[in-house]
Amino acid sequence: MVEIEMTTDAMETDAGRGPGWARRLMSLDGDDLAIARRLGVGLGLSWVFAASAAVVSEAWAATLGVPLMLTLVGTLGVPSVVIGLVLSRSELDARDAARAAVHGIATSGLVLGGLAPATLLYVASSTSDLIRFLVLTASLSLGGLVGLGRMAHALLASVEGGGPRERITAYALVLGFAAFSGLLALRLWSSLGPALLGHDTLTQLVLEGGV
Amino acid sequence: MRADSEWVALLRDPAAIAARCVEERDLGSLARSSTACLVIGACVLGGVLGTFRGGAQIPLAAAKLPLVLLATLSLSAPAFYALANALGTSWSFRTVVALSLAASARAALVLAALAPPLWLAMDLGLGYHGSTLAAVIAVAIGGALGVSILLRALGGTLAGLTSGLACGAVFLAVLAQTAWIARPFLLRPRAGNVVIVRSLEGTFLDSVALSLQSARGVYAEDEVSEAP
Repeated sequence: MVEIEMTTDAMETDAGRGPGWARRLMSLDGDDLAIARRLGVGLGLSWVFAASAAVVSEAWAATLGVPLMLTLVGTLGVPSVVIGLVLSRSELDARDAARAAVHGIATSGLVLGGLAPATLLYVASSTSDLIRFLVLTASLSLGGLVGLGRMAHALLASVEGGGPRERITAYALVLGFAAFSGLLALRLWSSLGPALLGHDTLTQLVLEGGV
Repeated sequence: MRADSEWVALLRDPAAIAARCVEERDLGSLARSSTACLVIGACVLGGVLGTFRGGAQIPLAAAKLPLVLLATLSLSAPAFYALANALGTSWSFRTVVALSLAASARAALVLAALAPPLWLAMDLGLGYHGSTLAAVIAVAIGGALGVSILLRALGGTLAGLTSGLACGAVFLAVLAQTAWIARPFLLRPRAGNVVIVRSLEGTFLDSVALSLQSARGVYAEDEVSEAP
């Protein structure tokens, strides 16, 4: 059995080299410029995914909605989590929370960028917009869940040394954040998804884009 | 390690192959051997599937199946790299490609081993649907044995299993669609001409949705008009 370090601190590969490109992109370390750069790369990769989704509809303006959606879902609930964690006397500060948010967005962007070629295969070869929508939704769900998981892991790391009450509060807050982000993503995707495929509404996509 | 013993190691010692990929030891040689095993194994299975129709369909299916597998790996590798890193490993792209090739090569060798009994069953009169099912079962067995290399590399942690499941789901989705685009492999004997690839008729998922509709008794117009 090959032993592999599975934590965020595992920055060295087994080959003894420095961290790979993907690990550097998801790193929580570095100055503000490095963090901003990672955010930009993550959002850029999510745009690549959006562009692969729009090759048939050519709705290029809508492709900007995917990075925007990722930013909104990854950041809108963060201030509430920070206030809640600070109230529960966590060691977390606003800067740590921002790093965790960028960590989540960059991870989602990385997964979506990786899924872009497979998505392009389905989008370009399908004759049904409904199937395209389902494939895009599955890809986005996978990318979103992985990013959300990494972000939650980074946020919860701040209360590892705390007491039971503090940890229970942190878990409840992160769970609430996940529910909020999920619902917000659903709300945004129900408008953005059809637009990306050249439809005005989800109802129109279902009625006109069936198999 | 010599090339002639690497195919033995692929079958006999998946843990050592997984360790070699993760530690990035002599990956060039492993990649060459894996690609050769993959192409040969897929060629053999493709050729056997082609015998159902016979004639030109045999070399055609033998040529198409390795291409389908290589295209699937090319399209899936970026997703494997992203998912494996996002879910906890620190693998380089080289490691991901080597692991994918080694896993596919192991699966292809198993498929080559299962090809003779499959051919015999078809020769003894196994029907079109039976042959399709037998081919799917063979691919499932080969795939399960191939993926064991990946699972050994990922370890037995929850993150490793999640990563393996996510990569497996992506691989299956891409394989289904590339195979769908490159079909037919198994052509009915009564089919007049050998077809290189059928015209684009939507995705594998479109076909599944259409089949589900048909199962509910709702038939598309072209299906009704094509009925004898």
